[in-house]
Amino acid sequence: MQQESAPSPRAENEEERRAVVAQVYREHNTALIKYLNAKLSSPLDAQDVAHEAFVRMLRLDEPETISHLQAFLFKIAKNIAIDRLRSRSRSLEIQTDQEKINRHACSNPGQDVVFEARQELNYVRKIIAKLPPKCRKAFMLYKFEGVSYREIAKEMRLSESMVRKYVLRGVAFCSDHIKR
Amino acid sequence: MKNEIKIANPGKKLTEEATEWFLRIYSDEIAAGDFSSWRDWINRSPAHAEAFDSVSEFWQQSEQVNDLPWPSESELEQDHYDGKAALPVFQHSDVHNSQRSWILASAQVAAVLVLSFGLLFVAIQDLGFPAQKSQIVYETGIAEHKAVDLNDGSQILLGAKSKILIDYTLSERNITLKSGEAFFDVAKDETRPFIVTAGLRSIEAVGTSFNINLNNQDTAVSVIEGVVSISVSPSALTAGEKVEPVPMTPLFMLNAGQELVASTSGFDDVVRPFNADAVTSWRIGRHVFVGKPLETVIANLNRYSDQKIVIAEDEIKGVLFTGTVFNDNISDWLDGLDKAFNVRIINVKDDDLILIASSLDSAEPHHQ
Repeated sequence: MQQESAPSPRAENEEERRAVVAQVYREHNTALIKYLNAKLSSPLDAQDVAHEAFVRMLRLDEPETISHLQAFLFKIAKNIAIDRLRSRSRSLEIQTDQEKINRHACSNPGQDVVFEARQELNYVRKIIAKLPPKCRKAFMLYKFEGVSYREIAKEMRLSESMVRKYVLRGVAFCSDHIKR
Repeated sequence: MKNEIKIANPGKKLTEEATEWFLRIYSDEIAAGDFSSWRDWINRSPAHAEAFDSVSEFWQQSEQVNDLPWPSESELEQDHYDGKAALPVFQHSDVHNSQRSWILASAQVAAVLVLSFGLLFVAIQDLGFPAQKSQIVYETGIAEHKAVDLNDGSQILLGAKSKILIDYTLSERNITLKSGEAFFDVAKDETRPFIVTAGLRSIEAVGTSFNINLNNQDTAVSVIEGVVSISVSPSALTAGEKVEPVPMTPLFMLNAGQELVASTSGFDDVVRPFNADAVTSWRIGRHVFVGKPLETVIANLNRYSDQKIVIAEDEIKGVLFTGTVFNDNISDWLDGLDKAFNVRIINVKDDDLILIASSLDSAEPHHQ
């Protein structure tokens, strides 16, 4: 218990830590959440994991410099994200597309929301279908089958850098068309 | 880890940069020290953040797309895009206009689904363990109806001379209407889509009721309640390999009160309003036809008639009929047809009736 008015070294540390974490939070939260969203494909999970990462950072025993903290923050966040992905793939067997939709959307969407989501899906499908064949195959293997760049290169008899280029061009093309 | 992607190449489009960052993050090709340059990039301007968000959004949305056709070998051979330049930006309308797709051959694509080794693996598994497939078949005879209660609470009423295959898995409720007609009352289960394949079309429903009538001329999907989506059925795509020009998969969303009619020969689908009482009245023993060609009328009645009715001449097939026919009174209706239309009925054998144009009547023997 530390109730004295004069702060103990420990409490001073604590306060400093909070100030530092607050600063890291201000500077990094946006980047962290976008980073996590890219890893988790879910804005909700991204928020969640970012929050947990900050909480864990507050609990650190050793004082750290800011530059250390930011690297540490991303490291913690990445680990939590990886844990999530693992437990997700464990339940993948019983997870259906609709559950995936639900994970991204609010809980229990109405029929019109489902309808809209499906129309959007048609749109996305059409855009992907517009990709040149090799580009599309590379993208589909990478995205849907989880095949690595190297394996795709082997399968398609291309260089790895070409596969990377195809995936990059394909994703950029589709992303350009997704914003309306 | 070897990293061939260079970030922030000047003059490059923002989306491309955003995509490079996205893919690096996604594939874990980002070192701890890179986080500050990542943060600097995303904070450079709202446009940077927006570009990255649109990549994330696409990635997320495409996650739910699961029936994309794989490019065929010939398509891959003919493709000379080397990835050097960014792909051109389409007009919004072009995306919806599949005819103008630069991948003209993509129609045949779907037939080559199996080329993906992932799917091939699945296919081999299916061949190896046919016993694991638990399909249930229901079939009805002439003038017979059958109510099927499924374990998820969905109900199917099978019309006469109809056949249905039920294949429920953990993730999907698959139904195939092989012939005839059926009325579906689908229990809502968002985790397991309810997919009916009928002829060239697949019908997917969440929680809804609809009727499907499959005959030699067309497939009619009539939605009574809720929403269903229609796509090209897998069997149609395989058939498309032989029949040359198959257009890109057309997809429809049908609302309650809408009916889709797909011809058995092609892809010229029609969506139109329909009369729900007319479409579903077969369930209570009568058939209400509103402006239906005689050929379709007879095809439906044949499923309820012990005597097989054959239309002998093409010119009669297209005659439009509007009216009600009762199951237990088909022969009376045929007698009336005589008077109302320019047709004659010839009783060939005891159980086969032939409809001919009455002008030819005198040339044909009445009995054989």
